[in-house]
Amino acid sequence: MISTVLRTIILYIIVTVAIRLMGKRQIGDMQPNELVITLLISEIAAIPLQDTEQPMSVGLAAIFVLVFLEIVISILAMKSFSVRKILNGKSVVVIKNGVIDQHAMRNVRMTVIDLIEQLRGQSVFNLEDVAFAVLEVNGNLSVLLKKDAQPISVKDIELNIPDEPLPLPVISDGKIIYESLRALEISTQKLKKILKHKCSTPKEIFLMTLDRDGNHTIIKKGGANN
Amino acid sequence: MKRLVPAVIILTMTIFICITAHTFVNRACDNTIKDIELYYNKKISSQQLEDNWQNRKENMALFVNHGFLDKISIYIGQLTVFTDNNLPENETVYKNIKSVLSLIKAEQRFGLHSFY
Repeated sequence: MISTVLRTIILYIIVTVAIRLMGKRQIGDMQPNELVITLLISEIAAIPLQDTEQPMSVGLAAIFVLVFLEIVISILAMKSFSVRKILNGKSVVVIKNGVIDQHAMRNVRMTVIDLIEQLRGQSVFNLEDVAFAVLEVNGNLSVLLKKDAQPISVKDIELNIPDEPLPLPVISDGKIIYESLRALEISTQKLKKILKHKCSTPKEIFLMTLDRDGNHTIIKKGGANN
Repeated sequence: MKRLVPAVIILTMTIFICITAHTFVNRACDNTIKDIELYYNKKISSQQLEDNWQNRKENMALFVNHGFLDKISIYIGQLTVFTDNNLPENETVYKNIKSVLSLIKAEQRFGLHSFY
């Protein structure tokens, strides 16, 4: 029993590190080869957990080989277009200049119902509004609307609005996030000065966001926004 | 190229595990056979044979299916009882130990049997 618990802890750590080494991607965003390797790793990790007669080294060696392959393949795919095309396939234009490409849809085995469902997922309810739709290699549909169906942007009405600086969380649950302060190029002293002005200390704050211009939002512990 | 560093480390670790497992398991299997022969020639006692096997088993468990190791433990227990009592069944048990050890060795080396 204890050995099962220990095996689980060790394998959990190793699988987490392995997935981390492979990079940050959600299941839905994975390329086909990444999905295969993730599925294989989870299956292989389960073997030494279920069957305690199996030595852990067998599972670990298999996981290591898969991670190695994934890293090497992803580097090769990054460097070479042909490798990327072989491994991941290529994007397919299913709507071109507002016309559905039936041949392309047959090739990717996509029905019109699938296409309409995916368009609805992109908040497009009228097929006639679509100029281009591209089925990406991860299965997502990217849509470009026709000019007259596109929402008005600030650029269209020629307003001069300056870019907003990015606010970052600088205090979370009473703890100062120094990484955010470094990214904002704001010193701890300046942060404390702002807090002093608000008659507060970091420990009293649940969340504080701050941008380069010094604009901030403070949510105190057990309190409301400030 | 920076991304290749973890890949190279992982590959090195995997190769290290494979080579260590292959060398260590082969040596442990050969030493077990040698121990049994020494025991037959009355150069070591049955207790010593069992103790040596137990120590070896602990380390081999890292690379070898635990079912195989448990089988050998049982066979060595039987072997000592049969040999100490001069029973002819000890030959069969010895053959069984040898065949399990050869299975363990076959599992470690690359061959069509382990590949398929």
